[in-house]
Amino acid sequence: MQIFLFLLILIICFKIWFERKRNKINRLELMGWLLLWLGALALVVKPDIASQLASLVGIGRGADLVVYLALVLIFYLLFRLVVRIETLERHITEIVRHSALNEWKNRR
Amino acid sequence: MIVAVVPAFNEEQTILGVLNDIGRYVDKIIVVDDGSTDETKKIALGGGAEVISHQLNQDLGATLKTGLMAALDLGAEWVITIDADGQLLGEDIPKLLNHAKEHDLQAVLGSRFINDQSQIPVFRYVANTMGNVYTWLLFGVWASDTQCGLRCFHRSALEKINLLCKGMEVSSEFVAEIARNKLRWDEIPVKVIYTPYSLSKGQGARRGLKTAWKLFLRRLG
Repeated sequence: MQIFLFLLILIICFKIWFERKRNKINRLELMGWLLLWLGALALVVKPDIASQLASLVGIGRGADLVVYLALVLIFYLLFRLVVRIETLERHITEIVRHSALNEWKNRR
Repeated sequence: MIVAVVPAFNEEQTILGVLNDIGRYVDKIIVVDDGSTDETKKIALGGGAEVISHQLNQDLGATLKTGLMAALDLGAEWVITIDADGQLLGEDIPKLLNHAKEHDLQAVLGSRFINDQSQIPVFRYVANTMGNVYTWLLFGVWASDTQCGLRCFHRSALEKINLLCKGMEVSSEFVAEIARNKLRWDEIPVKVIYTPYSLSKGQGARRGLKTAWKLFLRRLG
């Protein structure tokens, strides 16, 4: 199981690196994502880290800490997505309105 | 010049009736077809209205804004907004206009609940009251019918009102913007005819929740 997770995370890291090569993400995003997955990798290799960190912040089990952090991250990403979609929708509305008004003015 | 703005999305059954009903009370009618997939646009053009067409459905708020911008562009002094579902009556338009002129108001909103002139279904009444209370909580202004589609604005009001809401929440946004800009305004009773058709066009619980959420975001933003 550990080896499987190890390989999976390595593949994900390579994928992120390729995304950077293809200029799909900027350097900051590359660093952020790599940091996240390398952190996960560290946990896979040495699960004790999570327990030590957990007791440091007063959470009983290491696995709990990982789940809490994952939830926080997921909510943050969801929030970012929602904001992004709202912005896109607003832009679409502006384009649709602009073209509708232009078409109307030209017709008159 | 008095211009009526009629937002319409798939209203082929009622749009011509509405145009015929309100035509004699205004100088020009702008129908904003919000990406209808039926014959709404064709029928509205045939009915003698100016028709502006969204290529994609953008919802009520965005549609009203397009219409109001066009009305200002035409040089309208007074602008009426009215729904395309036939629920509201043209005969109330002069009442709104006269009330505005007599009392030197910049905005007059129709209200279906003052004097209770019509038979309003109970669930409608409850939903509308919730909308009013919610609007009051968020924006601190009370209107007896925040969701009414019949409104009258002077040009000076529209030049100040800044609509950002895309959907149904625009109805409350009008009230909020009137308050924010400290416009002179009032509300007067209007008649409403509830038909199975017009009732089917209202907001269900899910849509209502979405509207409430968007309005909350508008308050924050």
